[in-house]
Parts: sequence; structure tokens; C-alpha cells
Amino acid sequence: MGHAIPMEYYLIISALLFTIGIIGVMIRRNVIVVLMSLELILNAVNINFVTFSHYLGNMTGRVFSIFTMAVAAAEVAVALAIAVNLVRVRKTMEIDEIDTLKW
Amino acid sequence: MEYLFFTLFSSIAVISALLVITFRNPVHSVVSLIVCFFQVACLFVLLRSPFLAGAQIFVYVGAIMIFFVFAVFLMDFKSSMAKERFGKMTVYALPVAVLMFLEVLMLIVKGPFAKMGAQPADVQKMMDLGQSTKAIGMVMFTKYLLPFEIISVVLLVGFVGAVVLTVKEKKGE
Repeated sequence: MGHAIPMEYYLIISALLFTIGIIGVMIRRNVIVVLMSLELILNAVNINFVTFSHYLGNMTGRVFSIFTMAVAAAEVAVALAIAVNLVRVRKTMEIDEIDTLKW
Repeated sequence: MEYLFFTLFSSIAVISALLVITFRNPVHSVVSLIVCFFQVACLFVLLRSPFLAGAQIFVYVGAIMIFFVFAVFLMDFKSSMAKERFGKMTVYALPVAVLMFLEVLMLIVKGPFAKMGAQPADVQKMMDLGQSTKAIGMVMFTKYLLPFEIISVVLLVGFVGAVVLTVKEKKGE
């Protein structure tokens, strides 16, 4: 008795979450929401890893999704520290207004 | 039965993900993202990896989202909430993202994955729920021991970096 859900369904859900994350990164102006969309992207990648790991019977995907979680935690810690400093210094949360490097 | 749960979890995950990027208030976005992460953890259970589901809830909901909640509380988002949510490039960004999704969809449906005909049935027979966690441990602490050690250093550096960045400099030093 195998379960009947085809692998493609999981991949499609993962692609959907990934696209939503990409859209969030591109269109939102709030720094925090952009970082949250990044988390969404990393999570979609995790779903892909686990799906392939389950359907191909190889544990490597699951191990790598644990690594992804660890890197995501470190990334969020640094990114939020930078964001808090940015808001403290520039007094704005809008990424459009932080354009000193733009020439 | 499994289809029912898959539909439930995945639809709530997608809807809450959409809400994350549309809510005006960042606090609402955080709560919506927590819901999304819970649904993804449920999807991991459907994929027969209970350890990952637990780790997902502990790491994402327990650690990362708490970071976000504190960051939102540290910032003054009242003034930002009154402004426009979406950037000027939204009109161009949306079609590009949808196009990208369609391309990925075509790759999934017509590409090599569809022809692979992956068989979850015998894989599932091979490992019931307890076996899965054991198998992860076996692989992680033998074949991927060095990456595992490196990732712990990365985490340490990340957290030390976060502390260094947020500590305020003392005047006169």
C-alpha cells in the first residue's frame, strides 16, 4: 500500500511557495516582510529536498534540509541585526529609501 | 484520506503565504508566516519525516519567528504602515514571477521528473516512521560529519555577529 500522492504535487506546492516568496521579495517595501519572504523561499527549498529524499529513497536530502534550517537561523539572526541597526540609523523601514549606494 | 490532508495542508500553506506578502501590518505577517510553517511541518509528516517536522516547528516557529516578533517590536512600524505597501516595480515584478512559476511548472509536469515515475511505495515499506529518524542520524553522523561540524561553527559565528551588530557602542571609546 503506497500512498497515492504523486511527487509532482509536492513539487508544485513547493514552486508555488517559492514564487510567492520571490514576489514578496520583489514587491514589498518593508524590510521585515522582505526577510520573511526570504524565509518562505528557504522553506520551499526544504520541501523540495524532503520530497526528493522521500520519493527517491535517499537520506541525503533530509540531512541537507536540516543544514538549510541551521543556515536560515544564522542568516535571520544576522539579517535582523542589520535591519534593526538600519532602522536605528536611517529612521526608515522602506527599502526604496535606502539608496545611498545607488549612483 | 491522504489526499484530503495533503489538500488541506497545502492550501492553507499557500493561502497563509499569500497573506504574508499582502498584510499591511508586519505583526499580522509574522502570525501568518507561523501558520504557513506549521502547515509545511504537516507536509513533512506526510512525507514520512517526523524528525524534520519537529525540527521545523522548533527552529522556524520557535526560534526564527520569535526573532521576527522581537525585531518588529524593536522597530517603529506605525509610521511605515501608513505608507504604500508595494514598491514601484510591482507592475513589472508580478508578470516576471508568474512567468517563472509557469516555467517551473512546465519543468515539473513535462520534464524529467514526470518520466522518472518515482515509486514511494517500496520506499515507504523500507522505512516506517521511527526508521526515518534513525536513517537521518546514520547518514548525518557518518557521511556528512564534517559539514555538520562546519554548520555548527556557522551558527556560532552568526549569533556572535548578531550580538556584535546590535550592541550599542559606548560613548567616548
